[in-house]
Amino acid sequence: MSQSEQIRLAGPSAATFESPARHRSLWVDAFQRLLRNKAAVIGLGFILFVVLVAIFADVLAPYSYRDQDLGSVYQPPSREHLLGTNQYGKDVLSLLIYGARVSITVGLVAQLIIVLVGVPIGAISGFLGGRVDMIIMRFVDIMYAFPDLLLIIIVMTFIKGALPKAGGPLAPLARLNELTGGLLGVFIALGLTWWLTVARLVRGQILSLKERDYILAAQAVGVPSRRIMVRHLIPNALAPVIVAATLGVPQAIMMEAGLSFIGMGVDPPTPSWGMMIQEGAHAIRGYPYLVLSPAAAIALTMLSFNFLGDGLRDALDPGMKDR
Amino acid sequence: MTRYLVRRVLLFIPVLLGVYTLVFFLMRATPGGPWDRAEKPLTEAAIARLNAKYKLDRPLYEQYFDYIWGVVTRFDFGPSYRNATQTVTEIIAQFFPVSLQIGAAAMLLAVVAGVSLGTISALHPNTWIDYLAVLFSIVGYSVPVFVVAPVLVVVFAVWLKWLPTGGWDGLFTKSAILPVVTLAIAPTAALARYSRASILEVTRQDYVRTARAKGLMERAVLVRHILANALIPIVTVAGLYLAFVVTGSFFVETILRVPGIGRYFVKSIQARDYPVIMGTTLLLAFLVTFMNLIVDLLYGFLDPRIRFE
Repeated sequence: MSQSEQIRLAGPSAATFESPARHRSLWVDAFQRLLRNKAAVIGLGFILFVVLVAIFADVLAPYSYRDQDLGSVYQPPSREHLLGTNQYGKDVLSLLIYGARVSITVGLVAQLIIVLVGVPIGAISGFLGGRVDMIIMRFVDIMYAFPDLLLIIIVMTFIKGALPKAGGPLAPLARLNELTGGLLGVFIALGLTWWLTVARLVRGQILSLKERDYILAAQAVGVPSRRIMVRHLIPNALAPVIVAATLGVPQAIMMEAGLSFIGMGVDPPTPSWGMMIQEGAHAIRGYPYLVLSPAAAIALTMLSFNFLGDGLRDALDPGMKDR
Repeated sequence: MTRYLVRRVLLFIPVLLGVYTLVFFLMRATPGGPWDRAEKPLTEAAIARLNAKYKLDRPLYEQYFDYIWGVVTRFDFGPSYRNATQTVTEIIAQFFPVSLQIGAAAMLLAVVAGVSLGTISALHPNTWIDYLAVLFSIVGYSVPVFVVAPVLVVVFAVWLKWLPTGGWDGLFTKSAILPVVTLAIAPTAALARYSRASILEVTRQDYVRTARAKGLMERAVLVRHILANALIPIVTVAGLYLAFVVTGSFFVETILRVPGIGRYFVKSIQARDYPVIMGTTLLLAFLVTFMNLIVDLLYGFLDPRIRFE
């Protein structure tokens, strides 16, 4: 933990992105720096563990998340139920294992959507400049004044009401949402609201990269703008996007848990760590262990992603500091 | 300065209008209305009468302008659908002060605790107290508030029985400790982390060495030279966490059963109580925009080099 701080405080080291000839070695260098960061490696290890649990949930979970056993509700931890059972007699360990699936999927897919939406918009805004840039950035500014949880809750209310009833061309989306237990709605809500940060970041990067000589050179020899953007600007603006995306994964996991906590996330019976906390909070006086296991799962996952994100930032660009 | 202030205040209009428009149309586009009941569904005639009473049968654009006109001219946010005896303004007046007290107390606690922790840890780098502070700030910064809240309840209310598991008897009672502390943890952690970094950086500046060299007392060096110059990033982070304190109250109040606007908002969302959702959203958006302006103005006081134009 303190190590990443020390690296950060040591200030900028030699790595910069200026010379395209060093491009390949940059990633190798960065990876080696990352491996030297103990916290980041531990975080990466835990993330891999959670991903494996999520993939093999069907094999690992002792019970199905649909199994209700009303004859054995609120069982304390025992040999049959390692983490006890909840108010429906569901096995908490199994819920936790299936919940990892929801959390990891939300974290990765939502972040992917955010990057896919935010990078092009930010790149266009930064590259074209002028009126397009002004309109996009005014819009981003207005959206920024709005607490994101509030916006996401409102978008989620709309999606939860509208998506299941959607017909026509949107019917496959409605079906997919049902199949994923309401996850698609969460992806859409997060994608619609969180591209702002990525767009702003990419725009800033592009604005500074645009002034570099190699871009001027490319323009001078008549490379079309689209090619300049796709081949030169976006790849060079990528490092901070990777860091932001990694640090955004725990934010998305947290948001899904928070939404499920207030009943605006995935649909029951799809198990979610946030929903488990909410259900456990009702019975906190008598059965505190119900709330502690999902709390620990969320906390450890968030910590791991933050360690990895911090490590990546230090590794990719030690000069970038806290941004 | 005056021109800057006027322009910033004028900017509230598009921001709040944008928020209003977005929320209005998203909510109207959502199928199903406030009169949907799972059990004992209302008759069509009853729904028609309710729609007529709350003007939901009028054309959409009329509703759109009617509502905003009522807000601007009469400060009237409409009636609550869920709670027929109260208007939204009354509900906000009843529930918002509790949230405001908790939020303000949490922010104050976070600034005092966070900056102290960051200062101590920056003045003694790489000692056990520094490691402890850094560990706290990483954990507090990563763990969401709806995880912190139940864990603190289990430890301090269920196991140790020092504090009540929930409820609210006022700010200066035991019942306020858990909500305020829970809400303060993430901003405290972030403030500790950023003030540590900021102070460490300032400490290495030449003017600090000069101040020490000319024989100033350590206290004066710390307050007049180090802290005064390290405050800008600290204020920025504190400003970023204002919105967090607002939205964090949704979870804290729900878990700790505090009768504040956050808990009420969550219930209204679940009940599709449009006017309450709208009123609360506008209020919170205004609050966050307003506090951001205050933070920006604070920069000018903290650093005279910053000019507003």
